[in-house]
Amino acid sequence: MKKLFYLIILFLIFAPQLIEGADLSQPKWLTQRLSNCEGSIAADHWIGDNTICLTAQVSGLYHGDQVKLEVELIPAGQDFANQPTHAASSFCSSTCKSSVVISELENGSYRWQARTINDNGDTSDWVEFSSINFAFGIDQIMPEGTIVAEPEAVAVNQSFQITVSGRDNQIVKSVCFKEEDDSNWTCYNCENDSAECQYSFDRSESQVKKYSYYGYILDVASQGNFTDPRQSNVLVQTNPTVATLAVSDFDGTRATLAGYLTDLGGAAQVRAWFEYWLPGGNKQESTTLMLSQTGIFEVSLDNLDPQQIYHLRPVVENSVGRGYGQEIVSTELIVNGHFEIGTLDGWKTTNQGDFQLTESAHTGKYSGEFGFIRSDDKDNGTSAFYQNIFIPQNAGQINLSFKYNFQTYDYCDNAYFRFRLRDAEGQIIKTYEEWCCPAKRSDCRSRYSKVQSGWQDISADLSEYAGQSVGVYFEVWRRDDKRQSWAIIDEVSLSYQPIVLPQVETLSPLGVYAGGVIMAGDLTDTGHDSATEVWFVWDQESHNNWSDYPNETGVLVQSQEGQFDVFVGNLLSDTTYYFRAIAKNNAGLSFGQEETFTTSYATAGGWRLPDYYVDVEDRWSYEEQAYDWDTATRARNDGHQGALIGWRGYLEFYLNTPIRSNKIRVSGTGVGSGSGETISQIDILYYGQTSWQRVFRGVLPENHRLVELNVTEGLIKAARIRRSYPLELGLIWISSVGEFHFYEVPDEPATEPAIHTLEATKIERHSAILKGRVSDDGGELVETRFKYWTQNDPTQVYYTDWDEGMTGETTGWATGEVFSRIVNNLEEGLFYQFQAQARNSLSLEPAEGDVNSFFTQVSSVGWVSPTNSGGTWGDYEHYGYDDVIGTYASLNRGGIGSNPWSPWLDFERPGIFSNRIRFRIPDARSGSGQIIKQIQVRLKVDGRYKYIYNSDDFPINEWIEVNISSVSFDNQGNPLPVEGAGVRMLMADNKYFPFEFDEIEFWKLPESPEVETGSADTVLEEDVLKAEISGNLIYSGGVDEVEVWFEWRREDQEYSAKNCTDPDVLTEPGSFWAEIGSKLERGKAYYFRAVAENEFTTAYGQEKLFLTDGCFPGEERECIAFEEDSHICSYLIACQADGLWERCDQGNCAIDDHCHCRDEGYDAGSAFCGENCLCDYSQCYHSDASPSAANLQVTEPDYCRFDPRATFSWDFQGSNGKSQSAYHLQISQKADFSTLEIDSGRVDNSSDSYATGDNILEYNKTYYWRLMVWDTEGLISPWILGPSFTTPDHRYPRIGFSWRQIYAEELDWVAEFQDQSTVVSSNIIRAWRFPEGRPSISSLANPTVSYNQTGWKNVSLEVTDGSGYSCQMMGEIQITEPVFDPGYREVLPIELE
Amino acid sequence: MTKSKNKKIIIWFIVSLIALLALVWIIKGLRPEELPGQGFPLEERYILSGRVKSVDPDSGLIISVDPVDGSEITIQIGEETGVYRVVFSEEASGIFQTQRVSIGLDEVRVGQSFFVKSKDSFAGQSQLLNVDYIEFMP
Repeated sequence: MKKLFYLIILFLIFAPQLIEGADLSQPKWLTQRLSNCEGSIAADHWIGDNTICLTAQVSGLYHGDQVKLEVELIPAGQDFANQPTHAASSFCSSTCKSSVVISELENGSYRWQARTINDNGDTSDWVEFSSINFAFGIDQIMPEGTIVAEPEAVAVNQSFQITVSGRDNQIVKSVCFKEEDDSNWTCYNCENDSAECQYSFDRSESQVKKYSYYGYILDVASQGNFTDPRQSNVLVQTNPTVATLAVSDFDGTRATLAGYLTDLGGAAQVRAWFEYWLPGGNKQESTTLMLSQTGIFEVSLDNLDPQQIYHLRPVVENSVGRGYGQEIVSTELIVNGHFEIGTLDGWKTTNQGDFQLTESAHTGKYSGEFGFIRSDDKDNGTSAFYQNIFIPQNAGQINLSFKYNFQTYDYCDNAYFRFRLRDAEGQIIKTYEEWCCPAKRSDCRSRYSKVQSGWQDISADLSEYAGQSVGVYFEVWRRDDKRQSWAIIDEVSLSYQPIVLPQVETLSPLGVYAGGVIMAGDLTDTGHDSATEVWFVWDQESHNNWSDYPNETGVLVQSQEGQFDVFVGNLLSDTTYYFRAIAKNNAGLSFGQEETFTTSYATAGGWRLPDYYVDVEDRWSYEEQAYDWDTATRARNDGHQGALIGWRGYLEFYLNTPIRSNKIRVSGTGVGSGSGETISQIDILYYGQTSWQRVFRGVLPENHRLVELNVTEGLIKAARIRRSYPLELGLIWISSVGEFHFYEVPDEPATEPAIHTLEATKIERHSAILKGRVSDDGGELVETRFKYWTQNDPTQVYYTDWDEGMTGETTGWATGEVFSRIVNNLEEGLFYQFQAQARNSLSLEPAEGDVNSFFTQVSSVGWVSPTNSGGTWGDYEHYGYDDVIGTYASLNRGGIGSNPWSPWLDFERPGIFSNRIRFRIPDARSGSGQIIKQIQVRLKVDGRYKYIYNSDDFPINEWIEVNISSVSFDNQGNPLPVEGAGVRMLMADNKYFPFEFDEIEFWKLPESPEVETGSADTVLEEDVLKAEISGNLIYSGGVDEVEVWFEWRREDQEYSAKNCTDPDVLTEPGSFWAEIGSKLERGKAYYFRAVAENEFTTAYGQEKLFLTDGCFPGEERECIAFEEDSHICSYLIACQADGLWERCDQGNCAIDDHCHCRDEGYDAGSAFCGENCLCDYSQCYHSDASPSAANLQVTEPDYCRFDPRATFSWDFQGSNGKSQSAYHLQISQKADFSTLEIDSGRVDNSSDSYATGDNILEYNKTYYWRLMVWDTEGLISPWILGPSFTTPDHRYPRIGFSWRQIYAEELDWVAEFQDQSTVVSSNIIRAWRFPEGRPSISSLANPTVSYNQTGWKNVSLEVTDGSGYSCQMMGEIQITEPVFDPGYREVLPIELE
Repeated sequence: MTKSKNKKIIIWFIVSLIALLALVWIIKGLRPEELPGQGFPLEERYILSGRVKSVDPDSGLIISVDPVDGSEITIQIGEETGVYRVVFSEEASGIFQTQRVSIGLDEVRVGQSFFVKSKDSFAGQSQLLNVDYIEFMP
């Protein structure tokens, strides 16, 4: 061993000498690094820096020798010369790391080798840096690239391509792009190590917007550069929209069309033009405009065909699509004017009055003159310019404006100008403007003074008529034809603002209460409409569609953007609701996003849930189910950890903020549970204290029903409960806690409650469910009941039992909660009234809600409730048919070993026909498992129970609907009465909780309708025997619609389908009628009956009899007919072979029907009943060529002004369009024209009238006249007889008076009048009228009249002679200051106008 | 006499030419101020990409050159501004998404490419004051 030690010593001493003279070792760990000599550059990699750091570990011959690194760096394509090109700047002590930094390298790839050199100049062998192709590459040239997105404009969600191209002096590694809202760049890793790379990325966008995409190129040396151009843009668009506005300046060959660009669809510009066409013709296009903003645009058209009505519509187009405006027609308006409105029907005029252009318009732009203008041919009635227009639905700020100047010689009683809207039938919708001249103005009363309204500017808001057709009427009305009244209208214009959908947002509620909420919304855009309706919809469930919400608030009308809110009351406490804001204008409806809120539990104080729990020893599970308001979901205490008996860990309940409390309540394992003696120990922890206070120890008095425990009032921050299991039976006891609540003492003192009566539901013949809601529990939970009585006897009041609520015997109803109770034994067909009542500890008398009422009657088809229950489940059974979801019928299972099946819970009701029932089972859990394992349902049908449902896999908290048709109909398909149903449920063996049941309902099928047959009346109309028959639908069978009709039969026949009247649909009971026509026979007996059919069955009324009239062939009777003021015709009519009388034109009817030209061989013209009841064929002729004339009329003069004379007129009727060339008219006092008073001879003239001169016709004569006409081919008509006329007995009175003003001593001005009328008969009656004088009327010939002031005075004189002929004159006199006696001034008899 | 006259004409011509050139120069120089015209509204800009000219991490400033008009532009990095380095995956093939890594301004180097999104339009501005994020590219 010593020898070995000496050998090692010797080796250490002599070893350096042994290796002296050896070569230096090659460098090791050759590494290439970045310029700062950090990091490393892998072989064959490129860098963007032109400096590189080459390092290696160098060693000398001896430890501590001075050594450094030498390298030879060469371009990759060359060979090493084994000559160093670079060396480390200093030596280091061996063994060490040495670095060579080489800068300003040129672009390109390199190889390098290295060796070690010491301070003696000794060198090692070269060693090359290992690589495949080259050691490293220098690339300081940035890549370049481009980006192009195509197409430049696309539709929403349309795919397009973004192409990024890159090039580099070496290799392009990646091409990328990014949209500014993208988080990351999307790149393509180029393949093939090429100097060029291009990739097209697919992309689409979902919003209308201009998108910018940016490009980026990365080369192999990680040199990056943005593309040039830096970005490429894509415009994402939708179709543009446009509205049609107007046709203006339409003068027959040219027109200007106006449209309104409402949306560019996201484009920067759109093309716009008009399409126009003639009906049946090809569409033509106008010139195209480029539009860059919304608003009105106009296009002019030339070279239109005159006298044509064109159809037209605007078109707008962007890069992705087109939009079209409403099609309208061009129609000339007032003097080439225009109505700026969507649809034009053109102006129309009434028959009365005159219509003309005018030179005296205000500006002459779109003007017209109409009314009773002519002084020589006055008329009366309504003269109107009117136009029926359709106002687009999406129109707002609709305004019709015009100017008018009404001109009249009359006053208000007799003449008006009006501007109105009328409906399609001409009925007045609204009168916007009405002007007349007041009677108190003397110039208005003067027939000689034309008065004017002056130019009036009218502007009418027609916004309420958007989407409707209305007639715009400018009217002049005259009572009589005695004076002129007319109007000029000008600058008529109807404009509107196209509107778009409103925009609305739903905001968070402004306030949430136990029974109410303040919903809020923000109308962010009215869509240009002046009135936008806003409201809210809400429900306890969330919906995607606004129309699915069953509840809505009232409507507010907003004239501008802004926030709005609505208070909604009568909500349930502690309930989550969902709501949306809705906005609607004339363009349509839009809605905001859904928001939600949860009402608080009570208005003041009330039960509060813990905020969190602590399971101290981890002995509990499902702890949160102990404070979720649901007593049927429970926390479990199941962690025994060894001992099966004794205390297990505390479950602590904490509040985030201490509350003032004086009681708690708990629902959990207690008396009646399977564990029997499970002890509960409950402590509370007051705020600021560290020790718990015991408030309960023992068995909870009721198993899983809420139990209240009073505690000392104070600020409580926590409570805890634990369980002890005293019985050692070898079983692992599990207990649970359903709910644990703290009672918060109200800040305000408790008050008496307030209650609200709701509508009654499930109303039937003898029962109804009454409902109420606690408006305010007053700070305490309340008990409730109903009082009810009949309207017939309000003194007899009935009450339901006091109801303390579902939650247990010691609790009650809270604010917002709905309660109900069915009431039975009601009398059918009576109005009942009822009130909800509530009381708390402060109530001296129960609080009462409003009086509500209902009418007991047969229930309609639909879901109906049971009306009673069997009683096996005790006091809570009525909650199973109270029409309120969430209130449960319940029954404790009982102690250990008790029957896991509940007793049958039987529900009963009066029998109905039904084919399905539905029921609900609540979610009842202990921990995670449902405690109810199986449900069985039996149906009581026709007195017997039949099983209809048996399932151990049933849904919870939702309706379970069961088809019962197999047991509720017999083998023949006849319905059987369903009289009730029973339910029982199986609880898991080891569960000892209440059985709970929510609700059950039956679907009531229709019943048979009831109908009775009414009476029948037979009538004969137009040779047809008809019978009018009636019936009465008494009961619809509970459905909304019943078809009713009649069927009838002859006494010797059966009813058949062909003898039925058309059915009517009745929505409620009532009478109905029908007519039987054309099939009845004379003198027969018929039976008929009413029929009613609903979806269930058909019912018939009783059969009734009616008889038809008739006559016996061969009988004759006299028929007397006459023409008014003409001859009497009588003739015999006979009973025809079919038992019908020939037609008899009795009374004032067209007896001419019995005279026919063809009877005398003529084939044209008209025959009529002449003298002696003989047919006159004088106006019959042969139609082959003869002309004729019709509408022969005589116009007699105003006999107050003229002696007898007449104007005869006619309408020429020529064959084949020929016109009149001559006429010949004869007037005679004899009907046979044996002597003539006037014979015009042939007059070569196309005139259609002839006027006599004066002094030809005489008074008290009857004149006959006849006419013969020639057509342009010289063919002659026969004599055509005109209507005869008789002149008055004698001349009418000619009215005239004179007057003078005389001096009066008093302060009156006095005028004397003298009647200077000429009257040809005696017994004259004079009627003077002096409207401002005293007396104001007089019948004297020469009355004296006083006036109390000077000025122009109206005077009228009406004279009636002994024959009753009456004429009137109106005039004006001027009363002046009596400076001197002017003597008489005579007013000569004048002619009335 | 003729020579003298020609000389005067030449001198007059040269003086006139100089005056004319001066006038043109003056008008050209004044044109932008004197004849502003209606002009067009500047198109809104929210994106700036370029290279870091200088960086001041302490004051949160980055100075660059606007590639649109060559003017110097200052980017103010605020507290809410996201500052990221864009990371390209080395192993990616085909299409891939880059990732962003938050960095401090002290990691930013002069010459580095960046991509800025501004919350406000900076058209016509020499400063970006309300920057949403800035990404530094490889």
